[in-house]
Parts: sequence; C-alpha cells; structure tokens
Amino acid sequence: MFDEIEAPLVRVLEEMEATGIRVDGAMLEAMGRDLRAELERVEREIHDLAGHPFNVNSPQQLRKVLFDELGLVPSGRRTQKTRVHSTGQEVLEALAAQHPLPARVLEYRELSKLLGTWVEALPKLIDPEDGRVHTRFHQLGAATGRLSSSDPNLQNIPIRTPLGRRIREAFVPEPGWLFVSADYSQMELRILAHLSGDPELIRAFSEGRDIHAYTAAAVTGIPLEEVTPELRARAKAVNFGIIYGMSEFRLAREQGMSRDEARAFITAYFERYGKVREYIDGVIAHVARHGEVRTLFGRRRSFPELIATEDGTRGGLSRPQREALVRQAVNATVQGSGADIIKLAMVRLHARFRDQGLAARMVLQVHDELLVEVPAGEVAQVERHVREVMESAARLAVPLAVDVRSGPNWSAVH
Amino acid sequence: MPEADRPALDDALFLVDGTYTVYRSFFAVSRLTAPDGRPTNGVYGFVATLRKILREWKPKYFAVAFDLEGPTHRNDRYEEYKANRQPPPADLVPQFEMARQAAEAMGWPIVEREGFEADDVIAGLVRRARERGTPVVIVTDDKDLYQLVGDGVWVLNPAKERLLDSNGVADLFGVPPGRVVDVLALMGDASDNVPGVPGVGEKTARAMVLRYGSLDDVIARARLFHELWQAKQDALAALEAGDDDAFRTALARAREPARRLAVLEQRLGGDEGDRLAERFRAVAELPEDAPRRDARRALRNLEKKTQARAWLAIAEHEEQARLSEELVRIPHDVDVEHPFEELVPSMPDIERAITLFRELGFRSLTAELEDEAAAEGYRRETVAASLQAEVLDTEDALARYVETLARGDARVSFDTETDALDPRRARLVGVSLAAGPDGGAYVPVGHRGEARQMPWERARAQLARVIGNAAVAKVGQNLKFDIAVLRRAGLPVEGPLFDTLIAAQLLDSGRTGSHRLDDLAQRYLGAAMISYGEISRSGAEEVTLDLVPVDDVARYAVEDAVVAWRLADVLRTEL
Repeated sequence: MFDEIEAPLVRVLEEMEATGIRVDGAMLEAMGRDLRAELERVEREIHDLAGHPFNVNSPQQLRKVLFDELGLVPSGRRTQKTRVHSTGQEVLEALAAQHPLPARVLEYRELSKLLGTWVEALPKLIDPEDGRVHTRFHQLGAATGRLSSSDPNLQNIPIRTPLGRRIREAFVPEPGWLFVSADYSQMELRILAHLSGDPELIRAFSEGRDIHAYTAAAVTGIPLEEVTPELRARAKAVNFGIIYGMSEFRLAREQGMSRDEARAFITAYFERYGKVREYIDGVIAHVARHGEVRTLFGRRRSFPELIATEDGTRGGLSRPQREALVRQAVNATVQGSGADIIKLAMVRLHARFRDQGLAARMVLQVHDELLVEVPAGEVAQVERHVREVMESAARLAVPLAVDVRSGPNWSAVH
Repeated sequence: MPEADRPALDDALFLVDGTYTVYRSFFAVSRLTAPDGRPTNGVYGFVATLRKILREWKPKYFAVAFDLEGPTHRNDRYEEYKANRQPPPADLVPQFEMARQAAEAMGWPIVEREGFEADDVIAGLVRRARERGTPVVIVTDDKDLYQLVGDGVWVLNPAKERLLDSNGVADLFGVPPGRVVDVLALMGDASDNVPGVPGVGEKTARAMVLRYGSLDDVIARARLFHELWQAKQDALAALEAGDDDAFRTALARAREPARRLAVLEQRLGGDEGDRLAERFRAVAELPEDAPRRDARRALRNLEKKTQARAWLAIAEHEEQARLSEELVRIPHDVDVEHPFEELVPSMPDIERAITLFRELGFRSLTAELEDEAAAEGYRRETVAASLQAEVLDTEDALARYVETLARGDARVSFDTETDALDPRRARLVGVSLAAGPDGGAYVPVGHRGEARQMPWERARAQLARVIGNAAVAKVGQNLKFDIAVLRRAGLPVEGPLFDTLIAAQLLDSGRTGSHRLDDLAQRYLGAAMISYGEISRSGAEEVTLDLVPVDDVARYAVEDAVVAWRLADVLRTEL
C-alpha cells in the first residue's frame, strides 16, 4: 500500500498543489453583494418578528429576545440566576416549533458564515502570480486515510444548497478548457457489500438497482414500484447510518419515527442483510483481539483501548466512549477502503495522463469526487480514461459506479 | 479537578498566556535566583506550570502565546496606553526572554505576531480552532480573557485548577463572558492603563451591567439620568429663587427622562427597581402647581439611593468608557498563520533544556529532565556531531560526488534548504544529499554574501543526474515541499519516492502527534538532532538560512538528509 498508493501520491499531490484552480473573483464579488443584501433582508425580518431592532450576533441580546420577550421555553434547565441558556444551533432548532424567529436566526448565521468563509475569504487566497487558488492537500490529514485540504478547506463547501452551487460556480477552468468531474456513487455501500459479502446487497448493486429504494422494499416487504419518497429517505438514512453504527434513537429522531418503528426497521434491515450484521460483529471481535482494523489495501487503524482485557474491564472508557470507538472502528474499514481506492485511482490517472501525453490535469479531490481540468480537445478521451481508471481501481464483488460529467465550471459538473 | 467532572477534551488545544504566566509567577513565587544572581522566579513558575499542565491534561494541541516587543494596534488608538503605566520591575523584564528560550528548549510551540499582544493572538487561534471544531482551553487567570469563553472554549486557572466555562465565568466574575468587556470598560484596569470611568469600581460596574446590559445600554441610561439631573438642578434653583416660569420649564425638561427611567426600572423589576421607579415617577408626574415642599422633596429624592455619582461619572466620561471598551475588547480577526499540525508539543531538546536549566539553577527541574531522558534512552549527542558533511562549492567537486551516486541501485536522500516555508515563495539556499548513514554533502547556491558556492544553473545540471534520474530511488522528509521548491527552480524530481513523514504517519495509523524529523529521530533512532534555532540565532533574533554561514548550514542540512536515510531503513521494516 505504501509503495503502490501513498508513496507515488506525494508527487501527484505536489502537482495538484502547484497547479491550483482558477477562481472567478468577479463572480464572488457579485455573490458577496447578493449575500449581504440577503443578510439585511433576513435581519429585517428578524427585527420585525422581535418587534424591535437588536444585534442578532449577540447571544445576550438574542437570549433576551427569545426567552424574556417572546417567552419561548427552552428545553434546558435553568438553575441559578446567572446561569444562561445557550443560543446554539440545537437549541434554536428545537425552538423552531414554537416561533418563526429562531429559524430565521439560523438562516442568518448560515448566510453570515458562508459570506465570511467563502465569499470574503476565498479571494484572499488567490495567488496574484497566476490568478489561481492553491489549496493545500494533506495526504494523511484524516484519521481514516482520506485526504484533507486547507486554505480553503474544500469539504466545507455546502453540498446540495443553492448557495453551495453558487460558490462552486466560481471555480472555473482556464479559458478554452473545461472541467471533467468524476464521482464515485455510493462507494461506501458498495465497499460494504464487498467486505460483508452479503448476497442481497451484492445482488442489488449488480442489477443496477436504486439501492435505497431496493432496501426500502426489501425491509418493508412493499413492492419496489410502490416505495414512497418518504420510505426511500428512511431506507437511505439507515443505509448510511449502519456504517456509522446509528442507534435506533437517532433514526427515530431524524426520520420522525417512533423508537419502536425505528427499532423494527433496523431489525428488519439486518434480517434482510444478514451478512452485514455478521461482518460488523466480525470487525468488533477482531478489534477486541488485535486492537486494530485493516482496510482493503492493508491500511491500518489502531484502537488499542478496545483490546479486551482479561478481567473484562473497559480500559478506562465509559460506555458511550467505548461505543463511539467501536463505531469508528467499523467505519474505519469502510471509509479507509474508500480512501485506498480513490488514492489509487489518482495515482493511476496521473500516470495515464502522462503516458498518453495529455495536458489534462487533476485539480481537486473532495469527498468521493475527482475534478480534472481539460483542454476542450481532450475532453472525450479524458472522460473515457477517467471512467476506466476509476472503475477498475479495485476489483470488488460489485461494480464501482462512477458518474462522469463535463462542463464550464465546477457547479455545472457537480 | 476530579476526572469525572472534566469535559471531553481529548482533541483540545491548550493555549497558554505565556506573558501573563511569567508575570504572575514573578509575584507568586518567592525570591529565586540563578547561581549568577539573575532572578528566575518568573521563569521557574512558568516552566513548572506548563509542565504540570502537560502532565495532567496531556493535550493534543499546545501552544504558548507571548507579547512581542514594540507598539501594538492599541497604541495606535490611545497613545498613553501603557506609556504611563509603571514599567515592569527590572527583575522581571529579562525573564520573558528566558521563558521563551525555555519554551523553545522544551519543544513547546510558540505563537506570536508583531503588532499584537498575546491576547490577540490567542483570540485568533481560538477562532481558528472553533472553525475546525477543536475545543480550546486558555490557560490564564487574566480576566481580560474571560470574554473569549463560550461554546467549546474554556479558561483554566492553573494554580487553582479551575476550569471555567460560560457559567463558571458568570459565577466567578459575576457576568457571562459576553458581558465581561462591558464590565471591564466601566471599571478600568490600573495595571493595564485602561482608564474606565473614575469612581466606578468592579462591584458597581458589575451590578450595572447585570441589570442594564451592555456598555451601550448603561451609557444610554447614564445619559438619561444626566439629562434628568441637569433639569433637576435647574428646577431646584428656580424653586429657591421663586421663579415659577423657570421652574415650569425645568420641570418640563425633567419629565421625559424621568418617565423613561421609570419605565425602564419598572420593566427590569425587582424591589430595588420598583423603588427607583417610584422616585422617577414622582418627578415625571409632578404637577406644575404642586406645593413647593412636595416639589422639592420629589426632586431631592433623586439625589438619594440612585447612585447618582456613579451615573453622572459615566455620562461625563462616556468617551473614555468607550475607549476603554476598545482597549479591552480582544478583536477576533487576527490572522494567526501557524498551521494546526505544528501546534503539537514535541520532544524537548534535552541537551539545550538541561544546559539552560543548569544555568538558571533549577536543580530539581534539571534532575527531573535527566531522569526523563534516561528513561527514554535519549542520546544527547547529536547526529551532526558525528557525521561527515562535505561542502561542494565547485562544479567539479559536485560532478565527482554525483558520479558516486548515479548508480542504478543507489538510494539517495535529499533535502532542500530555503528562506521561507511557503514553497511558492521560498528561494533555494542549498541542497543536501546523502547516500549512506555516515555522512553526505551540501551544495550551497543561494547564500548571501558568500563566495563559497556556485550559480544554481551549474548546480542544477549536475544535480539533475541524480535528482532527475528515474533509476535512483529518493528518500526525504516531507518530499512534497522539496519537490515543489525544486520544480520552481527548474529541477524535476524523478524516481521512486520514500517519504519518511508519510511512512511515519501511516505507521501511527492516522493519529496526530509530532512527526517532525527530530522527534522521529528520537523515537526510531534514539538520536538527537541540532535544532534550527541553534544555527540560525544571531543574538536574540533568528535569521533565515541564507544568512547563516555555509558550514553551519551544511551540518544541519546533511544531518537532515542522513537522518532521513537512516529512518527509511527502520520505517521500511515496520511498514
């Protein structure tokens, strides 16, 4: 793994850092103007709802408005007179049911954060020498083995929101060039299918099914065509949650189910995907004996605190701490294998471009996506190479599906 | 603090207010001097405190903030700031530098920024930590820093072992963190030359802020009170003089502020508030034709139990209060460059630390360090002391050396020395090479005012035969940096790579902790290395490598290459 993946990756990352990515400063400026106007609008709304102007950024003033003036009831305890209630995100989310103001404050904060972190900060990172932003990539920045990035931290760009899309629109290729984006779809679930060997899961992927709808159908017994979007969303939550060891409590809360319903759902899930349960138990047993887990390509992640001691004590951990570590251990095999695959794909793609004498170059890697900057004339070839290299990075029991798109900016291809 | 009560701080950044800690220790620790007579109580307390923190909390990230000499942005705003204050005791002044040296020797990361105080740097780092979701513990008991406490940010008083969150600050100081600045602005701080409002002390300031809110709120009320007071004075004078017209005019002026104050006190409630409201209302509702006695009584009642003096002082010194607020408010937007990965306590430079502590006369501390060193099997002699470092300053010499390296099965370790940390800005000062465990060579190219070097173009052509040779495997620490530097210098790096940093990180399976070359050398080779500070210090300042004599840089650079070469062997077997 070191020789095939991590060692050659050093060079690949250096090149990506040196290449950087072009950012449209004017677009960001326009976005800044819009965001500021939006912020003002939301602020006015908040002031209207409160009945008077106040500083939304001040927790003290907000607290006064929420609890003293509007008389909202927080769920936390208040004991002495100087103890104060938090105005953090969770609290506001809980209060949203009682009044429209907390939700507006959350909106205000999000806009504010986007404005500061992206719209205002990003232009400062543009290198005047080439007009490009040179993100730093940290090869072993994440404990899972995934890359991390800073200046800017690409993982922080909101995904699925209109604002996130606008930020991505500001990332553009050189004139006359295009972006090709390749995204592994449901990589972790596919890895789970392979690692666990679960026949149902494998079948669903091999048949090219919508895995979430398929799971919903399998678990509830409802025919596939009749699965509602709501049911699919639940199945999706469980699909992802399983890898992270989601509890029935969390599923219930996030999907608006009762705990009994959630429990029933999870039980039915494991009955259907029996080998997944076996796999997870296997990982737990392995880590209890060896204190470490390994990924597909042999990347190690150690958890010495989880080694079972002779007298059965927990090595100084509380139960929730231990359970959190166990979740991490299971997660490590799946996420870590994902890291292996993406990194290997990057190394091979880099070599492929070199061998074929192509000018195309990788510029970003974030989540499960690889972004390549390509001269217009090379796009068709590059799309082909990218798909080939990424799909064949690992031979799994299920196909590795890759979505490939090309376009004039990052948002268009995302 | 009992373990059970501690919040989850495994991932936390512990930020020490270094300047303040030295300062406090100076006053708290009794007279302590070095064998040569220098006072050392401040440094001693500083070192002891930090060691205790590290021992008890074992933080993941750690840094010490110091003030840097020179004016700060606060001096820009207020010239007398700190100019009038008593200079620190003569015995204390040199101890700040000593503390710095101790921190360096002990491997404690130092954070500072010119033009900013330690508080500002701390705030900047707190902000960055919060952005990445890392909890922060600020080690200090300077109440100025309470304002930073909040979600995921605590203050730790090391002497009392008291960890304060927002509630803790409220309990201790009387107001929550968000209001600390308002209280400080009113009460001022004599030692820091923050004027505050004369006549308003801590108790009064706190009570006012608790009741009325922010400094703005307090000032608004003070203005109202002042307006009322002026009107009252005039009304009373008119009464004495028997001037009905003047009285009516004055009373009219008094009504509005009195009414508003009454409403305010009423809304805020409490027994005290109700009583105040009554007094104000009495004036607001006083009929123009009220009997003189009643009128006088109502007006005179404004002078009693209304803390008039304090309120008037605030109104009179509003400007000063606002200025004080600016002085105590710690801005959150200071950019602090230090990458988080570097804010990790690294292994002490035992040699240097022991020498320093012996000089300072810290017998028990020296003994402790020696024990620790022995326990970990540290070897004190540095690698550099025992290896060959050839300086290749002519093309011929370089060509000959390269001959020996350009064999097919060679493994060559290399390192670049530059004048900056950002590869896109750094200029190449020299390149070191090693192909074995006992020594290597250094090629100076970018030293200033130095004749013993060759132009880069010549060196590059020769070096390309090794570095650009795909048949020769390359070894190095953090090769991404060297590859980037050499790319910009026109020398591509070819051949299979063994990056000791990556290998070490992989072996630690993703856990952070220092993977700096000198720490890896201690862990895997049991060897010590010379530090950057040792070769680059010119008096109290550090200079960049292009200004350091070639022989010194050669030792340092070749040591880097040799250690990486040796490490590669060891790490390879463990992988």
